Amino acid sequence: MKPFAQQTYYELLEVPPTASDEDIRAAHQRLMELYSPDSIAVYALGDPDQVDSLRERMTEAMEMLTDAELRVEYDRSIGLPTERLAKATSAAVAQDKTDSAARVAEALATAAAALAKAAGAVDAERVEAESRQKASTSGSEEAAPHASATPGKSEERMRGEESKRQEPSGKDASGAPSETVMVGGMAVVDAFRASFNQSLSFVYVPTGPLRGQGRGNAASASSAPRETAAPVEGHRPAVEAVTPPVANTPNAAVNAASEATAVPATSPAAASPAATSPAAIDTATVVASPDRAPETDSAMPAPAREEVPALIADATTSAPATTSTLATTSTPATASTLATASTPATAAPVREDTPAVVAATDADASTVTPPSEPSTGTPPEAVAASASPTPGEPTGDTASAAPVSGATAQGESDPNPSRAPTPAEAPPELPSTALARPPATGASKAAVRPLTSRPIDSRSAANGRPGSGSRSPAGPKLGDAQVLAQDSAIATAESALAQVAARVRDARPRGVEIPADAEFNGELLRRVREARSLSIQQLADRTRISVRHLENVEADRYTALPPPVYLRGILMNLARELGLDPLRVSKSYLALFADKPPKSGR
Amino acid sequence: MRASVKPAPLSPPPGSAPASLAGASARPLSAVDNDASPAGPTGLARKSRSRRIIAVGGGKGGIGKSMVSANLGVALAQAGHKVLLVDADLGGANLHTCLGVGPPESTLSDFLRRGKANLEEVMVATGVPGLSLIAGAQDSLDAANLKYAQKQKLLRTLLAQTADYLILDLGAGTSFNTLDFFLLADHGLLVVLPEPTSVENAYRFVKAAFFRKLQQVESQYGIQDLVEGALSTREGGLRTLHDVVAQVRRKAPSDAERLERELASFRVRLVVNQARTDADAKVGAAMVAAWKKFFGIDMDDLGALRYDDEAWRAVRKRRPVLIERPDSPVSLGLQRIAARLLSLDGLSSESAIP
Repeated sequence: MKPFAQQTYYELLEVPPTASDEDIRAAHQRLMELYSPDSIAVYALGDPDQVDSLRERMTEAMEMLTDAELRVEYDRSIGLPTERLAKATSAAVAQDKTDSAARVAEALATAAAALAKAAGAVDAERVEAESRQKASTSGSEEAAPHASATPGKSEERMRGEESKRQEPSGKDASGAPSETVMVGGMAVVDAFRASFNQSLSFVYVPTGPLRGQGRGNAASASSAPRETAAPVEGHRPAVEAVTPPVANTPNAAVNAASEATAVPATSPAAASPAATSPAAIDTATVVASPDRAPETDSAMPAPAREEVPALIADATTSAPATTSTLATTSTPATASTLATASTPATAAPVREDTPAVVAATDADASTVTPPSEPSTGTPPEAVAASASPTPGEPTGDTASAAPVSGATAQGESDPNPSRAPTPAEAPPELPSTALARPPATGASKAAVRPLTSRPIDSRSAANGRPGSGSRSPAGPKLGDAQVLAQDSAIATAESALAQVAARVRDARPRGVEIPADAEFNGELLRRVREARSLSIQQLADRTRISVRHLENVEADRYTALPPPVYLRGILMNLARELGLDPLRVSKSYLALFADKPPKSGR
Repeated sequence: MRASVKPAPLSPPPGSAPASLAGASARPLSAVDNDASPAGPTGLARKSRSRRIIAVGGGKGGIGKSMVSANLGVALAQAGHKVLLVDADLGGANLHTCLGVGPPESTLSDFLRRGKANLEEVMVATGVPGLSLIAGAQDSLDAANLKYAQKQKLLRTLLAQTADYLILDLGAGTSFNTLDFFLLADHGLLVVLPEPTSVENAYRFVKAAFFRKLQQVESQYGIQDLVEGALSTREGGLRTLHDVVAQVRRKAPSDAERLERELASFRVRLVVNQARTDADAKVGAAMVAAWKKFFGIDMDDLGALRYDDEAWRAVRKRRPVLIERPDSPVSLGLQRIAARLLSLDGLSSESAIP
C-alpha cells in the first residue's frame, strides 16, 4: 500500500520490470486514458491536482523507461539486477536501427573515397601483407580454445579474459618465424583493432541514442540472441575505448568524424609513405587486405585487382556506394581470410555461417577464434551485416586515415598519440588496449549468438567454389554471405545516404567555441544547440527528453529539474545529441546543480 | 497478543462519549471481520454463521441497488441457496416492490420497535423458492434514524441468521447506519453507474466506509487522533489512509501490518449498472485500477450489467427481471455476477448458470 508518489516507475505504469518499450508505451497510453481529465472512472477519486501529478509522473516514468540508458540508470538506482535491462532495450535498438543505418551510410560515403585510393596505392604490398597475416593468425589459433570455451560470458568477463589472452597471443607472435613478420603480424592485428575502434567511434560518436542502447545491448549480449543487438554491441565498447583519450580535445566527439571527412585526400598519401616506417606498414597491411579479401570471397584464382571491380559491379551502381562496397567487403574479408588461414582444420560447413564481422573481430583480436563460432553457429543476419560493414568499412577508411591513430602510434610520428591504441607488444598493461579488445569480443559474441540458417547461408552453400583447393571452404562461402549482407547493408546505406550525409554533417556543432575549462551551464548548452540549429522540440524528439526538462536545463531552473540520478541521464543524452562529451557535460552541470542555490523556482 | 488487545475495546463501551459509539459498534463488527478472533462473546455468533452476507450499496440513489439486490437474491435462490433479503434502506424501502410483494404486513420496524423477538416473525415469502424477504420500515417516518441499541439488535440478529446468503439492500448516502451494514458484509457490493455523479458518490462511499472501519479499530491501534483529524479535513479522503498506516507503523510496525491486513480484508466488489457502451462496461475495471493506484486497496470488478429496457419494464411490472425476462442481457449479467460471487465463496457456480 504505497501512495503513488512513492511507487516506482514500474509500479506506476503497472508493468513488470522486464516490460519492453512497446509494453511500456502501451501501458502509458492506457493509463493516460484512464486518468484523463474526462475519464469517468477517476472522477472525484482524488483531488484534480493529484490526478494531474499522477499523470505527470506516469509520463515521466514512460519517458525514463523507454530511454534505454536512463532506464539502466534508473533500474540501478532502484536496485534492479541489470540483466533485466537487456531485454528491455531490445525494442529501443530496433527502433534506432534505421537511424544508425543512416549514420552508417554517411560513414560509408566519407570512407569510400579515401579507401578507393588507398587500396590502389597499397596494392603492391599485398603479398607481404598476406604472409604477415598468416603469421599473426597462426598465433591467434592457439588462443582459440579459450575463446570457444567462453561463449556466454558477460561483457566484463570477456574483457578480462581478453586482456589475459592478450599475453599468450603476444608470445605466439614473438615465436613466429621472422622478426619482421612478427612485428608485421602484431602490427596488423593491432592496426586492425585500432582502426576498428577508430572507425567505430567515427561512426558512432555523433549518434546520440545509439550509445545508450549500446550499453543495454552489451549487457544483453550474454543472454538475448538478438540480431539487432549485434551492431550496437560492437559499437559501444569501441566508443568507450576511444572516448576517454579523445575527451581532451574540445570537439572530441566529432573529432573522429570530422577527421574522416577531412582526411580522405590525405589518407592515401599517408598510406604510401607507410612503407617506410613499421607502423605505416601496418596501415598498409590493413589497407592492402581489401584486395586480398575479394579474392578470398569469391574464391577465384583470379588476381585480387580484377576481382575487386567485379565485386563492385555486382554490388552497387552509384559511385560512392561502389567504393563503399569495396571498403565494406574488403576489411571483413581480410579478417575472414585471416580466419581461414588460421584454422584450416576446422570443419568447414559450420564456419561458413560465420559472418565476416565475427571473423574480422576474431582475427582482429587475434585471440577469439573461429572454432568458437561454429559451436554456436553464426547467422549472417541482414542486420548484423548492415552493422558489420560499419566496423569493416570504416576500418578501411581509418586504415587509410590510420596514420593519425592506430598504426602510426608505433611509428611515433603520430600527431595524436593519445588516441592511438597501443601497440601489441605492450598491450596487457595499457588500459586502452584492454578496452580496445572488448569491441571485438562483443561483436563476435553477438554475431555468434543467434544461430539460424539464413537464405544467405544456403546461397553461399549452393555457390560452389571453384579452385583454391588449398583454402578451407570457409573462405568463399563466408565471403558470399558477406557480399549478400553487404548488398542489403548498402541498400540501406544508399537510401539513407543522400538525406543524412548532408544533414548530419551540417548538424555538427560548428562555430561554438568551447574552452577547455568551460562550465556547461544551461546557457552554454543552449548556445550549442542553437549553433546546431536545433529547436528544443527537435532535440526533445531526438533525445526523448521532454521539452519541459530541456527548457529547465537550459534555463538552469534547478528546482524544477529531476533529482541528480535522472538529471545525469538527461544531460548525458543531451550532450551526446549535441556532440559534446557526455561525461564532461553532466559532471560540469551537476556540479553547478549541486553548488548553486536554485536560481529561480517554479 | 490479540487476546490481550481485544478486551480493551470491550470493557469501556459505555465509556467516553465520542468514542463510545464507534468503540461499541466496533465490538461485534470487528469481531466478525476478524476471522481470527478466537473467543469472546462473538464467538457464538460466528459458530452458527454458515452463511455469507452481501451488502449492496453505492452512495447515490437510483442506481439500481434494490434491483441488483432483488435479482441477486433470485439468482442465488435459483441456484439452490437459502437466501434472506433484508431491506436495510430504512428510510426508503422498496425492495418488496422490486420483488412484486405488496405492501408487507410486517416490516423491519416491527422487529425493531414492537418487541418482536425474532426476525423470522417479520419474514415474508417472495414467491421464489428459497428466497424470503424482510421488508423495510414503512410505517414510521423516523424509521431511518436507527437508535444505537436498535442497530446493535439488528446487527446481532442478522449475524445470527442461518440463511445461506443474507443480502442487505442499503440505502443511499453514507450515514453510519449504512456504512456499518456495509462493513458487516463479506461482499460489499458497490453499484455504480458509468456517470460522474454515481462514480463520485461511489468513491465517497468507499472512502467513508474505510474510515468508518478505521474508526472501529482506532482504539486498538491508538490512532483516534489521526482518524479524527483525517475525518475533519475536507475530503481528507483516503489520501491520509496511507498516513494513518504510516503513523501506526512508526509506533508499531506489527500493528501497521495488521491494520493494513484488516483494511485490505474488506473487499469492495464493483458492479457497473446500466452500461450502454463497451467503454461503460470497462469503467468497473478502470475504477478498480485507479482505486488500487491511489489507495493501494484491492477492489474487484464483478462485471457490468447492460442497460436494458427489460429491467425497466420488469420494474414497471413489479417483477424481478430475472424471472420476467431470464434471457435478457441484464438477466444474463445478473447471473454472471451471482456466479462470480458463488465462485468467490468457493461454492459451486455451476448451478447458478442455467
